Amino acid sequence: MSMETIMQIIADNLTDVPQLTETTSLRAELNVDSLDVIMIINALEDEFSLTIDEDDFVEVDTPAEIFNLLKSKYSVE
Amino acid sequence: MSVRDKFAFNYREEDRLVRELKYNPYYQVISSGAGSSVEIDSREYLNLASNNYLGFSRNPEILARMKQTIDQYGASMCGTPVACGNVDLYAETAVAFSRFLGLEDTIIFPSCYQANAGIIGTLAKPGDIILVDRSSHASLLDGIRAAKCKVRPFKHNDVDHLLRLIKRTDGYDNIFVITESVFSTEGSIAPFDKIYRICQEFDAIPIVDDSHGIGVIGKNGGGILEEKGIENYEGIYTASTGKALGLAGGIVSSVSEVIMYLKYNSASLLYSTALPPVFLSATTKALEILSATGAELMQKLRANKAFLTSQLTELGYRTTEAEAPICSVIVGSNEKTFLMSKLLFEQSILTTPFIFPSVARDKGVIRMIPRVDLTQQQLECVIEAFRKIKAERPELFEQ
Ligand SMILES: Cc1ncc(COP(=O)(O)O)c(C=O)c1O
Repeated sequence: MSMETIMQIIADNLTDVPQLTETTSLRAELNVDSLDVIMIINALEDEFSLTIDEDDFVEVDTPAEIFNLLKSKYSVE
Repeated sequence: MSVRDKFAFNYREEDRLVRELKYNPYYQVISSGAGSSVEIDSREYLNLASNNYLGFSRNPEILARMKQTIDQYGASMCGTPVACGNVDLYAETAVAFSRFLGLEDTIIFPSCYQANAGIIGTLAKPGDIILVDRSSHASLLDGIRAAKCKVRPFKHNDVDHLLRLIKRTDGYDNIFVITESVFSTEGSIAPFDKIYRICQEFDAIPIVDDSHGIGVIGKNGGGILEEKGIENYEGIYTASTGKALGLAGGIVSSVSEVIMYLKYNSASLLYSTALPPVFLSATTKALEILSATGAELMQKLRANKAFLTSQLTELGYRTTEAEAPICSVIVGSNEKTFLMSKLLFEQSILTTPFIFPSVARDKGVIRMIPRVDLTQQQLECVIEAFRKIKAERPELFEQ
């Protein structure tokens, strides 16, 4: 797993993302809503063949935080 | 924090724009009906904002029927449909609607918002899964939230994405696939023939909201089912009668078992005062007129849209790739979109601006409904206004 993959998956699942960095706040800066979050989760599940608990995403809000969550809790390499 | 402050942030962006531009497109006080021109502050405006596509809200035959119904039935049944709101006109309208759509049975809600928000949670259970177009209307999303089952949104009008998701639905009891027919901000039409085929293949239940489709698309104004050539539709169909039909109310049509189930289980139907008789008889009349004159009306609607779109393109404006008769001009940032709406308003043209997050960031649009009752002269006035803006406000067109 690389940070680029994570950012690509996020961008692919949102419409017309302007600038996405590791620290972009998805909710505050990109207005990502609960449906967007589900789409991102679904895409990550597909990419890494795992099942993610949606509740885990309540706490994460930036690509870097998502990266860290997948690494620590889901042991994605 | 005071009550004021707790809620003030919710309209922050709109409030800022309203203050900066000294113009508020929201909650305009209109002192006339929804005709092709309306009166605001003692001035006349061309009305391209209303969803009165066919001018039915002022149709003399429909109005005559409404007056007659008021004389006969009064204002309201003052009861829910299940209690004492089930006026004979209710069944008559339900039959007329079912026949119009070619479906078995219909129920009528006070509004389509109420129908969508109510039925999804009534039909879908915790062990089910809902696949929904990402851009679906707030009422559908409200209904989905109430359903408390697994939800997987698919990318807007993206059949391949839907197919990928539906292939991973093993283990769920029922699969629902939900979409609008016409997405009215941009005027796109859902590939519902393909979606329906996927539903059949995977034994999924389709729910389509045809609010901006009925009386708007299909050769005769029959809506999405006619547009996509779908016969003997086995799914759930909802629509608002507050748009092209020129009235108010929401309908749900389907096979008789589904309608019977909803009749006794949908709380938003059971516990809400029935749609007043006057709107029921008017709906029947509107369907009658649409059946008789739909083909002609659709031609006019499409011709008006084609005129606006081609003229605007010639002037250098960009419009969305609308297949439906809706003309949305892409403006850009929230500020530019608001400003464009204001400049049109100053030239006596009423439009609907859509800004982020209703549309993607910097993809703000000005939506115009090319209603059938616009005259050629009125259409030309619209183009003239855009020509003037193009000439006088270059800042609106800088990237
Ligand atoms: C797609 C769609 N569905 C439902 C509704 C709600 O319908 P109603 O106005 O009858 O509540 C609207 C608009 O109002 C709509 O655009």
